Amino acid sequence: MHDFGQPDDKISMPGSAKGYIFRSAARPKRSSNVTLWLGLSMVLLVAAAGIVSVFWTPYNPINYISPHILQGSTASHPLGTDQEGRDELSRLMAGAWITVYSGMLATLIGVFLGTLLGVYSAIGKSAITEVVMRFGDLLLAFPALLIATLVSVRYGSSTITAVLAIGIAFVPYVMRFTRVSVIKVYKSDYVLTAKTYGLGKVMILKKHVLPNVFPQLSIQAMLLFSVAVLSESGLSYLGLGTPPPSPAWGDMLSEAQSVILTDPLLVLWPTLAIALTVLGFNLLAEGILAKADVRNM
Amino acid sequence: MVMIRYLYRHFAYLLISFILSSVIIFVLVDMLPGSPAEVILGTQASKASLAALNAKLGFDHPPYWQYWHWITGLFTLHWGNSYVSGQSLGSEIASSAAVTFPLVAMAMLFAFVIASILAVAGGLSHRTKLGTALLAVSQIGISVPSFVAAMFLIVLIALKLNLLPATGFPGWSSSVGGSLKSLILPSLSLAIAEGCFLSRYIRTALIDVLNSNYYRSALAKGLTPPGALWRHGRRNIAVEVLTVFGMQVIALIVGAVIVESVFSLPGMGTLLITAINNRDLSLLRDICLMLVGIVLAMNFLVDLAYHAIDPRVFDYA
Repeated sequence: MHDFGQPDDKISMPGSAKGYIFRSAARPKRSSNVTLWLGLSMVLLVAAAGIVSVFWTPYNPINYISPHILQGSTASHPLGTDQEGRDELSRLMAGAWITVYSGMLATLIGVFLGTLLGVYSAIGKSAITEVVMRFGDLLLAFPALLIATLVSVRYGSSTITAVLAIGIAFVPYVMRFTRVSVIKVYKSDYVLTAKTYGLGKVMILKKHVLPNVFPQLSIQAMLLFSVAVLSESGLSYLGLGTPPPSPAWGDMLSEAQSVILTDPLLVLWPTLAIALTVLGFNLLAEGILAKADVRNM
Repeated sequence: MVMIRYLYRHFAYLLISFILSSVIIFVLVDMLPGSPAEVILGTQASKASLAALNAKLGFDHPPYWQYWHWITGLFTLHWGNSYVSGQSLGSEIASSAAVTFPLVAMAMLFAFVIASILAVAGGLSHRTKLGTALLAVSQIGISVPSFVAAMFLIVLIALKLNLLPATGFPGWSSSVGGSLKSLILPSLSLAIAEGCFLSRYIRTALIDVLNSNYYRSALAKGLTPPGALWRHGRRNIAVEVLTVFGMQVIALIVGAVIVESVFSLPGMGTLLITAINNRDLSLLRDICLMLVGIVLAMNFLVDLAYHAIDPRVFDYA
């Protein structure tokens, strides 16, 4: 599954698995356009909702209190109000912003550190690279949840602790992936040719390796982003992420849980929002893969 | 011979990883700025009361002494008592593990069943409308967090249809059947996403086998499709299943932590959350090390099974 703190989702595990996401043999080609556009529109919808919410939401997502609590859909509140009388649509939009920026930040942290360590472990000196590799293996046993727990017990939980925890948990996965991709490129004939021309390590890295690894890495980053969204919602549901009254989707779910019998829609909206985001990024990544056939990149 | 050497080496890795993990956890829990007494009493407490509590709990000793005391205590089963609740840490963790382990095991079983059904149906209907629909189902299943699936299962199956208990856990000693029953919904909610995820890999592996030359040759020499799949496809598909399972073990355990809190099951996840809320550092580091230890041990076992199924891997080991 995916779940929380787990960047496993369809991340190809070089070395053991055979990099499934790069096999498009089992994927019907003609549906790739549909997948791509469906994914892209979902992603754009969520991103737009998040960005708009920074400047404008129908009501204030935290401070506005309507006299009517748990109101169903009305003209002034299209998605109704929650158990404290706050406008559900505004909170959902503001939650999109929290999700988008925390997911991006976590993915950036993971990809940046992971690529750095991965490239180093692929081309560095053997003794130290072994240490780096083992460190990565060790880090695999620390899911985001545990890192978040260990940090929160002293410093309290916030969006930042959740983002850090998720980002650090991503590092070993990105590292492995980058390492394998870099080694693969290094073994190719064109790098050999470049070497015979006397090109140095750094130049080979800059001119041949990174441009070749980058497209695959960006696909991985999209998949990681959807894992980050799931992790973030799980952490804030447990109270280890963005604290209330901020409208993180996980917080909204844990608050709505108590009124699920009287107003199940309050659980449904954040669920749909999470599913839409995750689905959007997964489909987008899959669509791009099928279209570009990254195997040959 | 190769197998034994391999086993030794990986067991050594396992031990070293476990010890290093304990150091990491110790550093994060005990060494970060702010003494444990400050964490318990708050920063407003007087210096004297802080020093007294630190001394009482043994936090005035140098770090290496504390670490040594903790680790030797763990291995000699002197886990001590929680300084918040006064409960014996060993028995608390053991009783919570008695909930979490069966939960994860049941979730794996359900996930496997869901995955097999989805994968076989999807693999055989590959490139038809049904196949595409099944792919979409599995994609959606992956996108819904397990704790949300848990909420909907509670409403639908426990509260509306009244088939299974909604929350709580009677305990193994009072009712084995009742305990198993109350684990069904939690494990099912874990298994939905997990099964959907797994099914995509099995499906691809199945389609690969169906398209392979060796499968066609097996049919040509007179084997029936199920027979050919069993004789020649079994191991190839099992390797995929194991690989994904290995990757997903951590996800299942983490998922269990969250799902437990939805169903208020007294498992390791609930204990972890309690430890954070009570700022119970000794409980926290013990349970974190347990969870990391389980993950490491499971990875070790999956690795062994993986190599047993596919001996070729030894060539690179």
